[in-house]
Amino acid sequence: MMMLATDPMHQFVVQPVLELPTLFGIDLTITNAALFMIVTTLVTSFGLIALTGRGAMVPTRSQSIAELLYGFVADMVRSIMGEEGRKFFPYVFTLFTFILVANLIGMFPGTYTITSQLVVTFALAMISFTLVLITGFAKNGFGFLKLFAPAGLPPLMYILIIPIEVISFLSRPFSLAIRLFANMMAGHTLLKLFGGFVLSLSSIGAVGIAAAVMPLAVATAVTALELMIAFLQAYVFAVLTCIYLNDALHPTH
Amino acid sequence: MSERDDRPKTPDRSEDLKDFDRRLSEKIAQHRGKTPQENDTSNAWSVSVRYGSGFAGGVLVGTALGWAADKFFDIAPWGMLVGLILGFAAGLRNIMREAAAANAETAAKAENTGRDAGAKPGSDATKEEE
Repeated sequence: MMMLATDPMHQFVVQPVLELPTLFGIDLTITNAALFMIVTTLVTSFGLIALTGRGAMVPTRSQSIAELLYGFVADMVRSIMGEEGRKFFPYVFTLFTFILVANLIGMFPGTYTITSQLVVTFALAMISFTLVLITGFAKNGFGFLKLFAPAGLPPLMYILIIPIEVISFLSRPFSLAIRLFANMMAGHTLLKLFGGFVLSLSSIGAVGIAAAVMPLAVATAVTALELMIAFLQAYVFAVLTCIYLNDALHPTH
Repeated sequence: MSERDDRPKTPDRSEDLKDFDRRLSEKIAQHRGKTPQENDTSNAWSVSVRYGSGFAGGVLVGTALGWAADKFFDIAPWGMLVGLILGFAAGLRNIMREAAAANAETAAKAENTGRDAGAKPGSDATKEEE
């Protein structure tokens, strides 16, 4: 039991919480990760509905939270993609709030941080990437491929540059996914590690309890840092999606 | 709720609204000015993850493409070798792109802080970071 409480990686284990039958070859079992994805979706949807439900002209305190969130994302989309980017606002807003709420829910003790799973972040990154591909080819046709050939190079260089640019482009969803996943997993491991120090130190008596003040202070500081990272990484993910979408809209370098 | 909004607008109240409008636009302007600053709350850890993930992504995709080429065209080990090298180059390209963006950001910030030197409460922290 002690081992279980102090093992910093234990929090990332995916376990079934509700066994459901397999239907059409799909295992419907709800795991803790799936459960918290559902919770995130519900909290986001019903939270926003509850916050904006009354729709007063002069916003109440709770409504202005939602309006701040809306304005923040709208500013971001407009400043990167201009007026053309307006049609992507719903997607970017959904992405941003989903990641933000998932990260913040993960900050509560006993919850599961779904963004610390590479599969989840990679799935989100692939949705963005697919959207970029569709937008790029729908808007520019094969002119989209100009993205891979920066203008003004000696012709011989293109033999080398084009494969590099293609790989660099294809690596975008990977680096997006790794970035969010690594940030969340490292932060939560660190938190658990210092929490574990507090536990094991305080179990050895009075001296231990006195010494446990230090890791406790660090854990508190890391918690504050983690709250900032929770916001920052959601922001980074959304901003990069906007930048990539902007590339798809205007593929010339 | 709607009753309150439908109240006749006395001149007194429209003054109020004008005042509110003025304060609101001030706040919005402040908010706009603040938004780019939010970028530079990046600490050393997130900077390292930014460069690390870009590089790892490049090498991973390059190697994976090389491996796939080996499988489909039966040219092992050349596909993976070339793919690894190209992936390495793509990873470096990603890092260069990130660094260029970070440089541009720093330059823009320096210009901003130069214009209204020390006016913002957060400016001390930003100077330390540079």
